Amino acid sequence: MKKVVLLSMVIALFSLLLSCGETVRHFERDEELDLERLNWGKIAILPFTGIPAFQRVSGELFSFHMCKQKHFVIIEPAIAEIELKKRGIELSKTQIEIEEAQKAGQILGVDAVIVGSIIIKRGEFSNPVNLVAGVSLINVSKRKVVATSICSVPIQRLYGEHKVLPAATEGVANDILSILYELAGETWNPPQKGIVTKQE
Amino acid sequence: MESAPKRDCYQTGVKNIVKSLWKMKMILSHAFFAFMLICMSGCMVSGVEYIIDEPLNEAQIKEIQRAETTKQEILKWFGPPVAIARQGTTMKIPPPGPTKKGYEEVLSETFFELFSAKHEIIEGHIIYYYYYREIKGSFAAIGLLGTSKKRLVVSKLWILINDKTGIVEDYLLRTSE
Repeated sequence: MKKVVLLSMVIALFSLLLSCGETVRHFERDEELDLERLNWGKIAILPFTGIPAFQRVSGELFSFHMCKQKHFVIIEPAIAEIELKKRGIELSKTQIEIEEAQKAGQILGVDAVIVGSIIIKRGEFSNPVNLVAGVSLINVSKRKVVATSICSVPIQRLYGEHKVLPAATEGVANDILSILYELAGETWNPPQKGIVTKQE
Repeated sequence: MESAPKRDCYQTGVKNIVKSLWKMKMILSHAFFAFMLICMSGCMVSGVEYIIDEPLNEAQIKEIQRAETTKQEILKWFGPPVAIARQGTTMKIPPPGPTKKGYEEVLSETFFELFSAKHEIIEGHIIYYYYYREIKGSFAAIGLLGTSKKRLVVSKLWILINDKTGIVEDYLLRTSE
């Protein structure tokens, strides 16, 4: 009897481990970054790369968060793509390199560009599948990555990738917003709850 | 003198009846106990209404105002769309449900055609596409045996947005069973 109880407890713990996972965020910024010297006005968000089914949606969600600040003019991914296409430039669908981003930024006439990606990462034993959003803020004139943010959210088997997409994009957006607010001499206070939520 | 065996016989008969009644009571109580155990363990479910995917928020749809509602509000109210249509491109639509992988390629023009009769489609137009799948029903089951009744309700919502102004120009809702 004891063995049965012990076995059931082990199974319960195992299934709990399999279903659980936590959101992991990693934010890195240029240590030598002198925010006072940066006098940015326009920032373009380039179309996201990664999982084809989520590229557009994640780019759109990310720019939704970026547009919450009113200090900088944001060029949204769709507009950036149209403008670049007019000039005969088609961005890479897999990974946008820093040179490509700089060129796009120069054409769009912006001070900085944001490149982003959305991928699925198969991780460790206790946290098998994660949706990972990653963005980099690039200074166009210096061709330098100013900040990078990565947010990894575990995909719950019952809900799928689409349900965790807002959490992943909001995570990276909050990090980039903190830099933008700092540039404007303000402090960014991220909301306690997710912003993109279905209303009851 | 013959009355003694008769009484014995009578007593034995009564005893047998009581015994069988007792047995029946025991069987019934055991059966009732087993039934309760099944119910409590979750092997028996009955009359449960179940839903797959989130249902469409019809009250929120009524809030959409043509030429007034913004793209930001749509994202706030409905969350991320399943797909975004942009002229001259192909959409990659993920299949409904969490277990299915990959995506279906659909020409964006198929969505723009829905609005082309009423609107002049311009370069900056985009369409947010939402898909809701709701399965409603009831079922009763004991162990592996059971019966169920279900109906699938599919709602599709297309929202035409001018991406240059960020304003919703029109929307279309279709629900089918």
